[in-house]
Amino acid sequence: MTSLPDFPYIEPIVLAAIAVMALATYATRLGGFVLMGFIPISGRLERFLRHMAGGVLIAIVAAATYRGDPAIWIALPLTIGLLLISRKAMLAMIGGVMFVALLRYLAVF
Amino acid sequence: MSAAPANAADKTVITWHGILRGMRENVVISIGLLPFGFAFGTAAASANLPVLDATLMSILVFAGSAQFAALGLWSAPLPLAAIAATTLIVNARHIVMGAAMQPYMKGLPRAKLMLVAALMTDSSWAYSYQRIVSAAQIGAQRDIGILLGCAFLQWPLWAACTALGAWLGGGSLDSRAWGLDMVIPAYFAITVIGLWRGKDDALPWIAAILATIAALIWIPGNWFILIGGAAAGLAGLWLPMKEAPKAAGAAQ
Repeated sequence: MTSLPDFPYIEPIVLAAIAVMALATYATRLGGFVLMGFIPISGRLERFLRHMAGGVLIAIVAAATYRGDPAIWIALPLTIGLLLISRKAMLAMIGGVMFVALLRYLAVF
Repeated sequence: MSAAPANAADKTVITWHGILRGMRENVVISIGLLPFGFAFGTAAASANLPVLDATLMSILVFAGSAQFAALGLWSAPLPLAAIAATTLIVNARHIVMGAAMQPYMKGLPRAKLMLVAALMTDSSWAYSYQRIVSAAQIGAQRDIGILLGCAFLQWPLWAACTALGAWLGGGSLDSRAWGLDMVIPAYFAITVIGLWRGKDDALPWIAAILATIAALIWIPGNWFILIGGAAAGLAGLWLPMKEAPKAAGAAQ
């Protein structure tokens, strides 16, 4: 973001964000083991957590699409199509990125 | 997840043999991790995260989806509360995974259990859960060292590929011209497609999309991820209950 000093330096706010993420992640990793020691995770809670996890990922895609440009709008369905046809996640991802780059290079948008 | 281990007198252990086995059996699948680590590095670079910061995040967080999700919120001033909340819910699946694993961890000392939890990723869990359950069913020794071995292999690879991607993606590279802002939507779209389990998922997905768009339009800040996730979770509860017999808590 700013010019970096010579020695390894991380902005305190970035360090704080990474620490917060690490702690939150560990809490979820340990959480299931700890919870099960007290109460079994019910079918309803399991369903809520599972659907919420999927919903979060969908929210990210929806937001990126909403905020994106036409190159992204066109490339996203193509990425999904490529995935469904090839069944190869990495191929679909590289294809999607290359397609966005191509559309912009051709200055279609 | 509901079935207790066949032989409750057994203890779960961690052995070097198990750790080495976990490493050996995951070499091939771990190659598939490399491009994603690299992609995260380039995405971090296009979010203006320096190489050192991105690499430290991969070392300390070691959870791909949450890391990508955080990048979506990475703009000054960093919204710490939204980043924390998003990390929690993106990783909420870990709670389910840990809960499923817990009955098979009987006899494992607390410190070792905490180490196992720290290294539980989607891939190390999926690999070892299946084997631990089979071992319990035939009354064989449960060696959770295999989970550690899998993670010991993937952790440094994930960090190294992040560093490489962030280094190559940073500098003078025009990330927009190279389409690198497509990495995040593509990554999550691909992950979501992999989660599709049938038409029961349709309602939560639609709820998530509508709630997210509504939040983006009407609610300032970065709460759209939480709102979309919560909408999907609630829609999932509203669906008629038809759990598979082996689902969590079915025996309760």
